[in-house]
Amino acid sequence: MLPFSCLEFFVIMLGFIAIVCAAKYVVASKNYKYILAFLNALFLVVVYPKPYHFLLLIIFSYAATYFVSEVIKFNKKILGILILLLPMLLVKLDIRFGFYPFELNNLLSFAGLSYASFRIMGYYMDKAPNEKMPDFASYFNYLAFTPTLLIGPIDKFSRFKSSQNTGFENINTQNFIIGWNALIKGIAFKYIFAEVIDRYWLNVYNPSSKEILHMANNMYAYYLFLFFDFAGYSNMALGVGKMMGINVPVNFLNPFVAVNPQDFWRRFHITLGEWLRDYFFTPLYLFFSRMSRFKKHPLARQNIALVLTFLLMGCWNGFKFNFILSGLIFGIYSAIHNTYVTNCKKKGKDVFFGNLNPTAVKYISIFIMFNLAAFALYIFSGRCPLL
Amino acid sequence: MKINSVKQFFINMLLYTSIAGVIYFLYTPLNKNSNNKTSSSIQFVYQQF
Repeated sequence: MLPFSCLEFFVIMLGFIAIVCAAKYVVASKNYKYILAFLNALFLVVVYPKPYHFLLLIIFSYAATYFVSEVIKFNKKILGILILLLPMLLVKLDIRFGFYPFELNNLLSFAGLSYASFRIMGYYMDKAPNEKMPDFASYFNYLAFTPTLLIGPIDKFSRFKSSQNTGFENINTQNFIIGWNALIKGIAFKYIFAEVIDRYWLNVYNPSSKEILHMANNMYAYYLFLFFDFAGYSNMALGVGKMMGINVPVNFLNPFVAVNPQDFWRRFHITLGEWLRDYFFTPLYLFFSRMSRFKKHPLARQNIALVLTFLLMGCWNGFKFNFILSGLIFGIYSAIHNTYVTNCKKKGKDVFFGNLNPTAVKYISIFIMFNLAAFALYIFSGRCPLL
Repeated sequence: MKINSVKQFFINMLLYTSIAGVIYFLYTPLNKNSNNKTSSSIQFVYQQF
């Protein structure tokens, strides 16, 4: 059973919330993490498909992080990253080693591998050279927290740990109501709005039809479907997490009113945007800054780092043409916007809208960004018949 | 976050009841819609493996 995929999951979560709430009155505050670890392990082992694969990844990543950061002490983190991401890279690149009697890929591939790899790498990148490894229960909870197990939001270890440290204190009436409201919102988004769009709008026209109007219809329908489906899932994860005492980060913040690509990634899949910014864009930008040929061209190095970051985002979804192309399109959007902002600053005026009324500029920007995002996500969906 | 007004209480009750009603309508076996299959991001993730 996958999280939030059926009614039984909600019944299990209700049980988990009840156990955590009851434990608050009988278990010491410092032991919250063990209760959480027990529940997460229970869910993995009893109902999750391929549970031991996930457990094996957690043990592997814990041991590998310890090995590369405390035993070998690599000066450059890239070697450690490659070791930690090895399982995901083998699966995504579809590299198969057929050792009879088992195939390595079957052992490595399971639902949730990508998001777990993101979190594993995030922890390794944030870990200071002299920082001690966390206790295994906290690390296990960070990777296997049931509501965020499958598709995020992508939490940071420090944020998760501080939330876990005050786990029992976080369980109170106010947080319960906030969590409940987020859960209800998520249920309405995913099981009503996304479902209705999927049934009654997304499949009105044949996806392989090359008529412009049919393609436009499919494009808008897919954008709305993806938003409601994914934001619904994230809200449910946030709600259940809150009721269990863990503050899960917000992942969607009304992306339809975004005015530019930068604003869009602060509203759509926020945790992925932050992850890419912290662990890929910033190091890449600093790397280019050290290169002599880019020293005099800050705009060029920003734009190249932006395009490469979004290309990586595309590749992470899978090495398929539609994913990579949509990443490239988002990268080009960001590079164009970055150039526009730099030019505006240089010339001291808006080089595109001129002296147009700010309110009009805002609404035109929202309209443009909505359509650009819908187009890029339509390419992402793989439903565009022109590809 | 306490519900302080009776009006808010009834609005919430109406909202939750309608959500429950719509979910029942969409997912009841009596709903014989040909598109009655959930395709979600969860399945999208799962299908990759």
